[in-house]
Amino acid sequence: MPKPSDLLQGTLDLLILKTLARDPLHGWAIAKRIQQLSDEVLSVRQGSLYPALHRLEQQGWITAEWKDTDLGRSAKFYALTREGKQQLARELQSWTRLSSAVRLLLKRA
Amino acid sequence: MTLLRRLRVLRQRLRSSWRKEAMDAELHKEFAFHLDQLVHENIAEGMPPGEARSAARRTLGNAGLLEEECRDQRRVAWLHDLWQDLCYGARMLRRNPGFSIIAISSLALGIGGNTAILGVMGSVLLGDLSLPHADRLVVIRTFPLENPQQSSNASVPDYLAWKEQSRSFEVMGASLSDQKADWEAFHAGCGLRRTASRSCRRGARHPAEIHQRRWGIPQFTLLTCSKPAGIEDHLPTCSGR
Repeated sequence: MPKPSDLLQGTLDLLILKTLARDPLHGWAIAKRIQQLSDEVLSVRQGSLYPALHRLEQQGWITAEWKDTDLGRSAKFYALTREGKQQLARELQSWTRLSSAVRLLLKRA
Repeated sequence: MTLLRRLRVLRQRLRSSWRKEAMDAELHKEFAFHLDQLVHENIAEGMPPGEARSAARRTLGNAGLLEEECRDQRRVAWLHDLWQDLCYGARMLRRNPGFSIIAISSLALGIGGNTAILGVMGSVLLGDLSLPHADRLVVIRTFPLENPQQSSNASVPDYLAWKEQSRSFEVMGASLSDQKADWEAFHAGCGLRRTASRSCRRGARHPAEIHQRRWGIPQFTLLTCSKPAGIEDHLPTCSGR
């Protein structure tokens, strides 16, 4: 299997916000879900994931709470705030614009 | 930024500043959890527990560095750095008393000198006029349209015209130069005789001599908002015009 691709600069926030849109998750589960949902193509390294989570928390897009996992271990669960949902919508819009521009370029160049 | 988000950010900043130890402990716990998850995954893939933990540590990398990167996201690192710098400075000052005394004395002299000079300059050059409603006093000057920087005094006919036609000023007065031509033009405009150029305020508790140039209207009224008591009657006035 090929090595999972490094994330395109600036898309990590979008991926984290989108992953948290459904339900609150801890850091480990966020990384796993991103990997699974992208069919193992995208991999978020701890060195990028945790600073990004803490940055998003400081910016008020996500909020954190210590809760027990299914296996009874205490973990820090991150959830999207109302403002975070609005930010996700903005990031999605920006991503759509960027990706369609890249697609256009690849088609026409 | 919405109010709610502002409050959320403020809460985070306060928490990061005042509950640093608790947040660092949480950070440590968060990475411990991640490491444990990695170990479990490795064991599930068939690794012996010892090897699984070593492999997990290798995958996680330098945990200290990672924690530091997360701490950097709190945006209050500068506050801790500042506090540490201040503590370091205080320790250095205590360790070298001779240097401290010289440094503090130099600063004290410099700051004291500056304060004194600026205090005098402020009150002498920049202070308010000790007159009631000084903020409503303006000086009217003229300047050529093509060169606004080059302002000059108004001519007597200009002044008389402004005084008669302007509606923007409550009272208007002129200070005349000693040039004979100006003075005569002014008298011609007001229909007054040439009169004395100095007057004294009398009857006040603290009599004060008021030096004046040749003034054209009740300047005292203009400056003090009250009719002066005991002013000699020969002040040139232009009332009724």
